Amino acid sequence: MSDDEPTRTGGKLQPPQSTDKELSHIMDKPVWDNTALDALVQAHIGRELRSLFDEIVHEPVPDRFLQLLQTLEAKKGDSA
Amino acid sequence: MTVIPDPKKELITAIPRLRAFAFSLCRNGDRADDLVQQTLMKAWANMKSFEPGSNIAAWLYTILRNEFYSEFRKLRHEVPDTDGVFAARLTSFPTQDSHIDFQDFRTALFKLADDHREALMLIGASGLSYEEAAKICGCAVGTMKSRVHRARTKLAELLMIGSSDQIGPDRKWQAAVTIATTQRGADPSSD
Repeated sequence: MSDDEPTRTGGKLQPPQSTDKELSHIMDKPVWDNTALDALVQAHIGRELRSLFDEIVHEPVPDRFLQLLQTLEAKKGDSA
Repeated sequence: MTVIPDPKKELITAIPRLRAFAFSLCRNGDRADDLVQQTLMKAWANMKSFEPGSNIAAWLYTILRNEFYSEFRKLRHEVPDTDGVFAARLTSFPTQDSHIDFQDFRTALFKLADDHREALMLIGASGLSYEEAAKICGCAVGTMKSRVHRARTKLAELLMIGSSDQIGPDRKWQAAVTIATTQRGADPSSD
């Protein structure tokens, strides 16, 4: 860790050691200044957004809407 | 003037996406469906103003959104914009009171201001283009782009600043590991 990092409450962060090369490049920078971590978080956000959207999109259409549209269509016929 | 051949069918096809968008705005399933109901009725009554060949989903999103901002939003307690709270991020961020909690995505999403949340849903979730989303929201493309950017930044902060507890800074590295391994091993079909 570099010595010119600002001091925080509780002292400097000491991340756990990692032999995993992929993770070590994330861990060698503080959380608040970490583009690699940001990229991971943004990818996570993208997945979660799509997952939320897909979950609802795949629900069956509630009856109330089918009934509404049937009623509206029938009325249109009546008023012709 | 040409008319859409089967308006009922077009509307039914769009309902799932409308429900998803409505849910992100209303943050409540029942109210979201009420909003969709209002939207469908308005759309039906205004079918004549729809240009055949243009994007009907975008047209419906616009109606739904207008309905939300004019009627449905008033009915709930206004959520304050959290701009000021997170402006101090750099000085207060990794304290012993914060931890990263990636389970509460929806909680964090629902804390965003309305214009941030809708921008994320239209661009990030529905997969619309910036041009389409900007048109739906009645703003410039540049505005939409910066809104999405700010929304993503704010959401990332919200995800990483959870409720205060005694968990220390080590937990953030743990969370980074969790995300990294989740992403690497992520396989949508294996859940």
